[in-house]
Amino acid sequence: MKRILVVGASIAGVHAAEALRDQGFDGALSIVGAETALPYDRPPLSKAALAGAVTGADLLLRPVEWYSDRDINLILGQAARNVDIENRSVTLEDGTALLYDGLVLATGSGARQLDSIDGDTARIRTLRTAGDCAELRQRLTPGRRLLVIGAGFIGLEVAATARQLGVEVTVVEIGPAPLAAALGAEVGGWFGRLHERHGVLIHTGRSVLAVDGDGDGAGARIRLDDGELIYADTIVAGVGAVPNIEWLRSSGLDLAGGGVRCDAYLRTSAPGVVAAGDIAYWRNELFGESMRVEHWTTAVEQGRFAALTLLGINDEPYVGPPYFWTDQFDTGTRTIGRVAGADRICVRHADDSALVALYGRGETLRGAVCVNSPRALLACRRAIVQRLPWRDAVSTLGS
Amino acid sequence: MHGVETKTTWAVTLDQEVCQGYACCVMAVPTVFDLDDETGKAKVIDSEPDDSLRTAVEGAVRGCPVHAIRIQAR
Repeated sequence: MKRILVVGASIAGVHAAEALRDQGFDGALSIVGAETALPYDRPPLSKAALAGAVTGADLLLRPVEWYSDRDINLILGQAARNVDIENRSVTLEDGTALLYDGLVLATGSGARQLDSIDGDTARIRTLRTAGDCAELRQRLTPGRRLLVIGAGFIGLEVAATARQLGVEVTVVEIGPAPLAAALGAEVGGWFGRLHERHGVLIHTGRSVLAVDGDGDGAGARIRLDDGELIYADTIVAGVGAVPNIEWLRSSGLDLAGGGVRCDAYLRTSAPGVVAAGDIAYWRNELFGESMRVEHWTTAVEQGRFAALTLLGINDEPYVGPPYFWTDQFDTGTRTIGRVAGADRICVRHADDSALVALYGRGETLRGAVCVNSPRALLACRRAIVQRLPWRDAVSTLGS
Repeated sequence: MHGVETKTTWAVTLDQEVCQGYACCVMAVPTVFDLDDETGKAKVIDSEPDDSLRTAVEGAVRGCPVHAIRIQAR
């Protein structure tokens, strides 16, 4: 293997490139990225970076000399447009064709855009890039009014950060509670009360019908489906992510589950092509099902794993139990395993400052949410990896 | 490994000021990292691990979301 191409200047992409060099791959190695910025970290964009506590170079995944030291060629500001799996070639938006022997697909996700709202929808921002973060931060000054559409993880993190900056925050959520689709209504309700205690106004079971100017300057008037009008200076939608796979539609690669179908070793349907991170819909043998996971830790681990697969040095499949965190106000939430697709949820403990909830399916523990409960997190992770029966989980964990 | 200890020439440090208690390191290498129950953050419990743990600790360094862990030559 003489030429390896990494498409996606992402967390998964950088870790793939690092692993290739760590393992002694000394051929040509390039990373292609759609954004012009050096690869940077994304979790802080809705938390520390939005609060102004992390800026500039601190966001970079690796300093610029890290790439030159390792002879990693960065091709930035160029989205990939197509891959020819027969001739092993990737075409960039300027028409350049890059030949590869090995290809890592790590293009990540973009912010889902709302298409159901009338009026001046250009006023609705999303938060995905460092540029989005910098623009939004300028607008989050004390006393200004922020409307957040969607009480998912990003929406709630933005709401909490803005509130701590002294912004008046309103959240509109179409579901019965914040995070209800992800974590269930009971746990979601706990997060709703957390935000309300800190002065965030939450409208659940409501959707935004239209956005217009307020007729009095730069502000916006937002009309909800029950007729209520909300006035805000800034609107942010946090309604999920969309995997960046459109460029692969005509490639002949097997696409499934919203991403690129991979086997347990992150191999795609094309020879010499692996995928990692948000777009990888891979067979996770720990859970006996295929899944796609949009978490930082998965991107780090899969980037490296996919690289090792390309080099032919993985003996075991990738089975990392998904793990992610969210920090809101004075709470640290840790979610381990699989909470999606649960058919049973047991809240083992909940007070104003802590919560432990277990998620199972088919008599087996699959996931857990632990708020301010780090010991419970460790116990739950062990239990999930061991495929602990549900009845044992609810009698031993998180009490 | 069957009681055979190789000579360690490296050490692990963790900056608790930087640590956010995500516990990735504790989950990855529980014989080297643990939780500090007072602070809720991670701490090093074996600062000079056996060489057989080197790869795993390097994984913990990479897998720390806030880059709080360092491996230092001794």
